[in-house]
Amino acid sequence: MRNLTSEEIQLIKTSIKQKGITSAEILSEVYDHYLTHLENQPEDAFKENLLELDEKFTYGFCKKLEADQKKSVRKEINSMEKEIFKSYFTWPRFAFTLFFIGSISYLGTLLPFKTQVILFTMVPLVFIVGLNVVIMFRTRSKLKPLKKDFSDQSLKITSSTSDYLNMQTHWPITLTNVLLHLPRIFGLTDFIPEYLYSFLSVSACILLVFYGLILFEVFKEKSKTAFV
Amino acid sequence: MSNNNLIKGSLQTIILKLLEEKDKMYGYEITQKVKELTSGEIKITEGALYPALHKMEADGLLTTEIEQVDNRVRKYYRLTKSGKKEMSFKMDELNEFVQNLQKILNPGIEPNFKL
Repeated sequence: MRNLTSEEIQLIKTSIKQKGITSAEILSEVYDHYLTHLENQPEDAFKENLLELDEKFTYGFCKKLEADQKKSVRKEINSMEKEIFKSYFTWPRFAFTLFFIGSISYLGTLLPFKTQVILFTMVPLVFIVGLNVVIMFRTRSKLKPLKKDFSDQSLKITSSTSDYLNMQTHWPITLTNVLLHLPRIFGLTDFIPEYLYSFLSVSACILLVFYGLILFEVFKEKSKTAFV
Repeated sequence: MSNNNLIKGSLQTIILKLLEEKDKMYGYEITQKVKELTSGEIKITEGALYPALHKMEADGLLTTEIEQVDNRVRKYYRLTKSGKKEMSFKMDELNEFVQNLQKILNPGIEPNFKL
């Protein structure tokens, strides 16, 4: 094993940049593969070996790896979320679930509608927005070394795991906005019957809290091992 | 050994077995380990290895972790619980297949080895 010269490292980076890889997971894997392979080859055969690697990691192959990676991240996160959701209905978490649903339902009978909306919908939403900000900052700091290595690459390097988690934090916020504001566009201000107020706000709260907790647990787990 | 189809069919088993023996490995290390163990007879190509690793990760057989090594980020693969179960299932399946193959190719010889 030998240390590569800075010119050689630059040639490797130039070569990898031409593949248009944007996924941090694939980029780091391909870069590490190139470096490790070339470190184990003689200096005088560097260019031949680099060319050989380029023939293996073609543009099309790298794009396919990226697409598969995105699918695999989605599949993995979705199945993690299902597992975590199921765990809320198994002992000992089931006690928390029962207590939480019971408390929220009881509070729903006591509080006026406006307070319920603020408390039951906004608090979990603020938690989800906070999580989104944390995910963005964590990803940014984890991607820093890789971005530094490929700083002059025109394509933006992103983490597939972080992208998918971010997308998941966006949709409850968007959905709430749509549900609150869309009816107003059509002049519908009091379209919800009064007897449904409590039921709707309590249900929204339960769904949002579970959703936020599941996302948080996935983030906690993935942040140990992924670019997030 | 040039028959890529035979290697392709057992690639998952090879990866699972290697990861069972060594707690965590990265892609390049797997190709080199196979080359070393088979004295260069079996060469796993990058074109086969990485898609297989990513598929196994998506299927929940492997988990990954990233580590900063020598000024770069390295992605390690590790067996999950279901990966360990799958490994022992695949090994049994392959053992049985090799024994049956022996019966067909060398009917007179009693196969008495285990992978």
